[in-house]
Amino acid sequence: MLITKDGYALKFIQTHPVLDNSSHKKSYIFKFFASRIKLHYIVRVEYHDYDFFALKFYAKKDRKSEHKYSNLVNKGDVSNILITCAKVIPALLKEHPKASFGFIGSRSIDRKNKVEGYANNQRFRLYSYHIPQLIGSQTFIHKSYEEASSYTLINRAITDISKYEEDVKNMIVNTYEGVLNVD
Amino acid sequence: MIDVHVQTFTFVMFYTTVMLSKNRTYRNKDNSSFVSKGDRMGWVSKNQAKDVRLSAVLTEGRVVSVKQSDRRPLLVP
Repeated sequence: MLITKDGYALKFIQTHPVLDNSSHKKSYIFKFFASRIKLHYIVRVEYHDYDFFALKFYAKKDRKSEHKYSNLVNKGDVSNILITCAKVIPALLKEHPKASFGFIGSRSIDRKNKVEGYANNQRFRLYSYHIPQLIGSQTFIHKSYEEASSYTLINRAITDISKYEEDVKNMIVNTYEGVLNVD
Repeated sequence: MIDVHVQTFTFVMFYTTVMLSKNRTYRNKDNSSFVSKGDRMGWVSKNQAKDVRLSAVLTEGRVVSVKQSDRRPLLVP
């Protein structure tokens, strides 16, 4: 089934510098209002070494929750939300034409604090379904890691792609080692 | 005089409705038979959830073949 939605208008807010010595250099913050479900969303795109961006988003109402990336909103409208989040990719490519992108599907936590498994989780399945319909293969190589519920878009402008992929993988593992754990 | 009676009646009706709806809310909150999505899908509770290191699971990826859709314009070609 093809996606027919257009998403919402995305607004750039600011960048946050990261002052530690990690590979995470700064974060770009965007926001949008999902008018159909009447919720504000925050899109946080973390810029790392190797021109790599990690894309995260959450409903603003959950901003103080320690599980803001795992909570279930369950109001529908997922296509519009994912399309809007994907709009950061062309926006950031203007500034970083050789950039690559990555997503990790967080494990969902329901109202009774039940936790989803980490492999091939529902968020990852949604990303794997939507991203190939929104982003083409001319600019990026699409790669999915089902066991880690992760999806990457590797820029074809990079010369040695296999070395780049290995470097990025090591960097991501160092930065987000516990990202699939639920505390 | 009739106005006073009407006002009193309206207030009593409003108060009763509010109190009844509150009671109903509390009864629902105590309902332990609520079945969540996790119950239906067989998810585990937080303390039973297995910890996992990203390095252990982020192994070989699979290249996704992207079929060009002729109906929807892509955000990036």
